[in-house]
Amino acid sequence: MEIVLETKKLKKEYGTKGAIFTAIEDIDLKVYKGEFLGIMGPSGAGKTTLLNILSTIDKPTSGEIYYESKNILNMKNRELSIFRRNNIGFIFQDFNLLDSMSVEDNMALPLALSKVNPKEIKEKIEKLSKFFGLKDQLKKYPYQLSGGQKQRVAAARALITSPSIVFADEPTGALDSKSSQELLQCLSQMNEEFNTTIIMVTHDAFAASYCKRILFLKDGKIHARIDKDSTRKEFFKRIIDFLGAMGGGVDELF
Amino acid sequence: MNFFKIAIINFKRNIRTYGLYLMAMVFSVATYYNFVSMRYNPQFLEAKEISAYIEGSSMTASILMIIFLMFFIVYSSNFFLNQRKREIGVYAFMGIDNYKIAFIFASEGLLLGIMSLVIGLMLGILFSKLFMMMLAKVALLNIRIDFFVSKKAILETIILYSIILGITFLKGYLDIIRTNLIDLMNSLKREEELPKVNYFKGIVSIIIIGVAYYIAINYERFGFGTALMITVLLIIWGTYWLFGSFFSMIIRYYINKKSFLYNGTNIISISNIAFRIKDNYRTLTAVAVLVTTCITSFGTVSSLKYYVDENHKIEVPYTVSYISDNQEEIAKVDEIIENSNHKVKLKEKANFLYAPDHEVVIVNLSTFRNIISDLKVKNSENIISKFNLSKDEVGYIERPGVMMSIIAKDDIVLGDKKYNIKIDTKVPFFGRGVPFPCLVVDDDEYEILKSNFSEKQFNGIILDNPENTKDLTFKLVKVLSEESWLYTYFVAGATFYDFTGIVYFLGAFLFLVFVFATGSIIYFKILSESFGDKNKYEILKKLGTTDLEIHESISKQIGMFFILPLVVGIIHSMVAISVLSDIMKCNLIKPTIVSIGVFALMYGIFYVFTRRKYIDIVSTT
Repeated sequence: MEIVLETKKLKKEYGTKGAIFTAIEDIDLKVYKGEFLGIMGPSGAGKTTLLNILSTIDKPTSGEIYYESKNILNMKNRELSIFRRNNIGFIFQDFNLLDSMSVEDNMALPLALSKVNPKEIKEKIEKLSKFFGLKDQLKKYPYQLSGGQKQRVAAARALITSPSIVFADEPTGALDSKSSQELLQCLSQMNEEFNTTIIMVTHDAFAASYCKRILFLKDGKIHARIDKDSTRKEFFKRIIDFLGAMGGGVDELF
Repeated sequence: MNFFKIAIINFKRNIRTYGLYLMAMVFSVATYYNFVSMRYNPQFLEAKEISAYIEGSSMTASILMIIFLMFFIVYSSNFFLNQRKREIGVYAFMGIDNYKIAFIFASEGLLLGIMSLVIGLMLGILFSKLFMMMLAKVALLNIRIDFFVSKKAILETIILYSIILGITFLKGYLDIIRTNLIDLMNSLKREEELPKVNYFKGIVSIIIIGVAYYIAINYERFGFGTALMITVLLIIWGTYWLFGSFFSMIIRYYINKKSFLYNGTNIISISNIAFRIKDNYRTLTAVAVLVTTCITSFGTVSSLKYYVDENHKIEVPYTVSYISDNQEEIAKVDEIIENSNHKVKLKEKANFLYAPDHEVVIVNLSTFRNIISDLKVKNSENIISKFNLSKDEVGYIERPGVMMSIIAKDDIVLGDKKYNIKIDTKVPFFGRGVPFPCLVVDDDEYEILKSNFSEKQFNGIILDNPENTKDLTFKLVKVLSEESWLYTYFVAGATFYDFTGIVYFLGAFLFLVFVFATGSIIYFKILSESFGDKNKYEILKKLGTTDLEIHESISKQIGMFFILPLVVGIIHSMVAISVLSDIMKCNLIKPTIVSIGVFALMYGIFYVFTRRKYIDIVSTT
């Protein structure tokens, strides 16, 4: 299988000499095309740091990151921004939609900035809005939408550039359970239908159960990984069991 | 630690953010002081002929300054409050009550105000001599200016600013007391709604402005005073709706035109403008009106100066002119001139009729044609061709020295015949030597009219070195009789002292103050919104927008808010100046271009500063 993202000996330290805090360490990771990878772990395990580094928003202290065997750490700021725009999609916990733009404009934003032909952009919006059930919301503005709808707009925006990876940072964090389920189904479907590679950070075992593979992070290191081999319900149970076994108690993990 | 100490510490820490505020305040204090002290300057008080102008402009300047300060303080204090809301929220969380927080922040403002007052006064005093010397120079006053500190002016400045600072303090205090903790914490997350577009108002705004222009241009039909008042009101109203609705219409059109919107950073800037318009259209209107006022008034004063230079040709076309048909007298004059060290460049002789009832003189068409071509008037052929008069038509030449004529000319009855005034113009003709309007009639008509009035002979002579005609003038006075209306280049210079210089200088200075006012109002208005936009740019960065693209979109967005009122203001003022040029019978293209150019340049500097500061604010996290 084709490797989309690969990291070698990733390390991130915060602080200055004398008071160094290591957020993540020794992260060797291979993400294959069409994967749906979950990252779990207790607070302070380094989940968000890892996600930020993988998604090129932050830089590691040492180590290497390859996107389709291209080393992104050698890129300059501007290059990196454009790379990010064209190759990476984002779904954030707090949606990060622009209030000043309509749904369709929000979706069009990354392509418009890259000066893609407006006709092409429109076609893509058409296709994605159908997929995410947003056809009737296209002319509306974010303040007129529910949380679930907003997050679907964000997902559509993440997909519009046909990125090699979509990063989702606690995408269900601000949603009620019904909207969460809808969104996760969307992500799962997206993964199946468009063969989109997704990396999702989550606290929530239910959300994690939609993934195909889960990495557990503890104290900045990869603690364990489990693969999905049966139904989602069973996978969910295994995750819960594993979290219990990992120690620290269930309380801390939720 | 007491609360005043916190205020002082805050003040020290924030001194950089206060840069422009301080500058604007210091500048306004210094200017205000100078305008007031001008009134008390002993040397100027002695120069009687200008003290009325000084008094007037000093008063005008003070009133304008107060109006500016009111706007300025409202916008700038909003800006500072927005900038510090989170900090205030933190204090509130720590359990300091609103009254104490309000006191801390309001005293910070007070401290700032006192500081700018002190610095402004010092600078004002320091530069007052320079200011007075420049004024004396342009006013051609031959007086010595001493360094002078006016206690009265200092006192007046302190009193005015104390009142203003007191109000500012109170406003800052009340603003904070009225806010809730929850508002403070959420102030930046406030969800905004897209304003609705009112198509009716949008279209009507254009009609209103059109009607205003029509009335202004046809001021003669409505009467000058009425036309002026209606125009001003309609323009303000129309501009208000123009920015409120018409502008939204245009922006909405572009938002729906995806081929334009989905092209690079347009999508960011246009969407932002659409959202901001609701908060901004009042400011845009105010700025457009200010721009209009600025350019029109500067245009007027520079036109005045330009007019004086141009008019010199109309008022003094000859070096020497007198009325006489006495051959003996004429011979004597010629002899004196011949014996002087001047060379004759042109000798003009013309007959005219004097009609004392109407206070006009009358010449025939041939004479008019001769003089116009002899004097080498610009576009002489064009002017002559306009004067093809029929039997009952006359041409009207304004009395030299008339600056503006706002009264429409009616028909005129000469002898027992009624004549229609076909053309009304202002050209060099007899000059001030014959201080009456001149009517040009058909040659045959002239012969008929001759019987009703006394005919006189005009003699005009152009010499080289017209500046040195003092001695010549005194010699000529001796040989010519009282009725000869002797007028020379020297007489013109002595009777015409130059207050246009003062008006020009003070006008230009006020213009400077106005530009500064306009610029700083728009600066603070735009920047006080930048805090709300911070979040947007963070999102954009995460999505992979490059810094360059962010800068580009900011430039476009801010540029729009600067350019729109400028363009509207320029169009308004061009109409105003074209009316003015019609009234003054003088082509004002040159001074108009200069005043627009100067304004745009200074305004551009404000744009650069605003843009830089905006980028600064949205890029720091």
